[in-house]
Amino acid sequence: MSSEGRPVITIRGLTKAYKKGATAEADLALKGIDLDVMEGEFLILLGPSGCGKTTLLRSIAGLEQPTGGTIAIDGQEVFNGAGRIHVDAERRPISMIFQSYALWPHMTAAQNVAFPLQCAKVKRSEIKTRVDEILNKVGIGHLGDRYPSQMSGGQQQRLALARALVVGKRIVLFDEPLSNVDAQVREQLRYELVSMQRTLGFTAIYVTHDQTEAMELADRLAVMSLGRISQLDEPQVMYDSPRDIHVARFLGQSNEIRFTVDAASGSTVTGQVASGDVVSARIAGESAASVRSGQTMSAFGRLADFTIGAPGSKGTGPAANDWPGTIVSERFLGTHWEVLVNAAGQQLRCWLPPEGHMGYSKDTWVTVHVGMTALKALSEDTP
Amino acid sequence: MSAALGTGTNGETSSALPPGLGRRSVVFRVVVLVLSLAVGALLLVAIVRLAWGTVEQYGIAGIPRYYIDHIFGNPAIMRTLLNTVIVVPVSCVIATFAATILAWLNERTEASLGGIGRVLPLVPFLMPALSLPLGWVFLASPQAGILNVLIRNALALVGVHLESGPFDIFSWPGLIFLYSLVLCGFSYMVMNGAMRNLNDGLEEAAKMAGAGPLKILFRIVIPALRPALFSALFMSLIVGLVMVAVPEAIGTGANIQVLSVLLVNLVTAQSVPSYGSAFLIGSLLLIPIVVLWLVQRRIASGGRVALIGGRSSNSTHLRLGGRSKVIGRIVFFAYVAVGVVLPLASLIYVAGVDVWSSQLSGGWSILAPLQATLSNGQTGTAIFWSVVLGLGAAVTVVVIAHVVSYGQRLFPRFGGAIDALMKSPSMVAQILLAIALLVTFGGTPFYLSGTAWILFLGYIVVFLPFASIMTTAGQQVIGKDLIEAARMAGAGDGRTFVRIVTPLTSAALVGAFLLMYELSSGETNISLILASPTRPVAGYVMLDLFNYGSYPQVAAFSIVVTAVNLLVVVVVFGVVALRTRSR
Repeated sequence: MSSEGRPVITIRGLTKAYKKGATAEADLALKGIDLDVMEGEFLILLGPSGCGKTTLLRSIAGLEQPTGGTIAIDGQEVFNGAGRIHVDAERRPISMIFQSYALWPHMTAAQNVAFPLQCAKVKRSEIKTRVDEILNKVGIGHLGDRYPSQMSGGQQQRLALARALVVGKRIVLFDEPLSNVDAQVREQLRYELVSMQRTLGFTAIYVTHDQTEAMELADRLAVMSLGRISQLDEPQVMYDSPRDIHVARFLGQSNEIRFTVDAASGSTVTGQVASGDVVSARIAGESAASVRSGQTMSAFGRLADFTIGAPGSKGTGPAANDWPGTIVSERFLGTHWEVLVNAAGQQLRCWLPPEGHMGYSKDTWVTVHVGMTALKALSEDTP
Repeated sequence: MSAALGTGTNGETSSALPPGLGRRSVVFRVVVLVLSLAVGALLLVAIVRLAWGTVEQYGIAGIPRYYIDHIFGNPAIMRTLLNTVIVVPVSCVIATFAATILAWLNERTEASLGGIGRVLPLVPFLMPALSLPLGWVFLASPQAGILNVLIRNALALVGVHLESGPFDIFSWPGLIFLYSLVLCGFSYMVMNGAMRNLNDGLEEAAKMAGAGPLKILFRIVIPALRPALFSALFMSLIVGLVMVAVPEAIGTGANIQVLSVLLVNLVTAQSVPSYGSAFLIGSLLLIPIVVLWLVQRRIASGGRVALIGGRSSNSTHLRLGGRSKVIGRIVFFAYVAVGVVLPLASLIYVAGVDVWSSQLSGGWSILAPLQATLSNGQTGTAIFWSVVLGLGAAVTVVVIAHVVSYGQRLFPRFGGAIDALMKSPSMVAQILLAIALLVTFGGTPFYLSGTAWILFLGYIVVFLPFASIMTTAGQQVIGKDLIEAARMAGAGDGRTFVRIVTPLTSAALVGAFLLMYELSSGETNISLILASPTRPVAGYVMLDLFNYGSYPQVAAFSIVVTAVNLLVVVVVFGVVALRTRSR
């Protein structure tokens, strides 16, 4: 599903302060969020704990009242800080699946699913048909008489999904719904979730801190940091070209090498780390013109892009991105070896394919190499 | 206020979606608000009216003079105050300590009796309030006390002859013993729940550090439960300060008068009730209650206590080792024997004899006195009204407490105020509340004096704090997400309350209902002031029989009331069990 189409949710300048009367930016949990959620897309809100992703989701749901800004659903404002509009959660055309599933323990599976229909005043005769239909659709049609406590984690997750979908609301919010099931079930449920979203065509906003999950599910990915959306892009674009230092730090496994800029030209920047080793990297997220000599930047490189050679194999001297160092440890991780090396003034992690592994012993001198194009340089204050 | 009742949660109005969708929520919120305000108004009007009457009687300037001349300058009243200051706090500490040990044994150790252990310490509540002290009067009166007679007879066999004793319930130790015994049940209610919810990890960490069971109890468990401990002390203090049954049964014989009895006498034992004096003297009770309340709040907010986990901890009972398990169970059963079995047995014995005396009677028949009790118009009427008022008050007070407890979620900004409102009757002595209700609603324009309605009002006001504690605790264990899930499913406040909150708190509600029924049906504090010969209730008649009837009569009456209460509890349990099973 692409992100093209019309926005079903429009958020502008959304702020949220938990402390009453707080205006200082540091006290804001959401700092002026602008976001358009397109009809039928699967949008992931990704970020570390405390970044504001759940607050944003709950604000959209109506469970949290923001401090300022606006939220509109289908063009109709459900929150406007200036206009003092706040539509309650039960009156928004939104369903939600909670991290704990929040299944009512005193109701059977069928009763749990029937409840939203009863709230929507659907005819009693129709309720049973719709309950059976949705339970079958999520694959637990035979468990209608069971109580949630008599169901497995995966079945409970399906039940929560059925309950969220039964009324036919076009927007479904997910608050880390797969964090309570084991890895195998989680993978299966992810697949089913995507397929169901494609089939039913609802718009999904999904909160997670799991990058694999985010990559697998997302049409678009919004990485959040410190109450802001750091970057909003398709997963592949985000992975390859992080425009923000927080995104680079959060996405994927990478080494971060801090260096002081000597010179920048075109899309390349060169500088030195504290140990004097030379770093050369591509500038990401800003133009070379804005990079100043003497400025501190961080170069990010995927662990698999680092290679290890014998001392002097590529040069022990001042060549950029050739750093002499000593082996700290190594361990086999199934698909690759992870080797820790003390180089460029810090500990670097390198993932080597099994065939490229030489069997290093501790304190052996080696040279770590990484290609200039594989390193992306970002500054702390990248927008 | 209307804006706050709209769909906005912080006073904002909602205008973006079609009007009318949230009407039911608004109605429900209005109901909650009106109920809260009605309870508050009832209390406030009654207390203000009594205070105003006192000011009219003595004048503003006369009130300090009254305190100086008639209270602090009156040796008899000062002695009464001193007696109260000694008896009640000492008993509260003993009761809370005993309740803590019992709750610990049952909830945290291998001496646990499980569900039975949770219920047994509450069984004394089935008996009218006067029954327990009365049972102990029959057991431990120096001359005719059954225990004393049996011990003297046994000692006589080995040549030791005693004229009286060895026990004397009409004494300081006897009075403190009975106060502690009654208050222990109240403290147990608080401590039991706290012990049950204590996080296993605390004890396990102490065990791994090499601590034994007693060290774990005194160094880990009790400090971790300090807030609950002070809640238990607070609750027992509130009950103890105004308790009439024990000092009435024991204090007179022991010549130890306490404040609660003095207040009752000021209103009931004089041809012209001294409401003003009772108000001024009773107001002194506010001092210890407010002080302990402040201490309790300070400790609760201090943050130097372990967080209580929500998980049940039944799975890991602490090993006591050696014979400690047996000793633990003996302690438990000893408490049940002292608190239930022995007094009940003595009541049954005395009910079946013609005359209770130091000679153990050979002839014993229980049927005739029980029949006489049931066929007596006054006692039969009293039992009937106790059951009716007990059921009515229990249902009403639990419903009000349940709805208003939910109000704390609906109006988060006013949650603290609503909670304080519900608990506020406990700050004022029950007897003062009864007097205030009588003064306010007894005469024009309500004329409720001598009716069942004034008793009904009294029970509601007096037991609301207790019910509120139980319903609030019941609602607190419902996860926020279960409520939010209902909102996301499109349910308004009313539907969420009825379909989600109420079923999930049903166990707490049934528990609260049973306790409220038991407390109100045998009530002997405010009933003495609000009941009348035309509208008698069990507690009122029982004290009347105790003072002016025969001992077998009062014992028989007590047994009948206990049996009726047991029947009601069994029926309610049965109905609840059937409904649960049919689901």
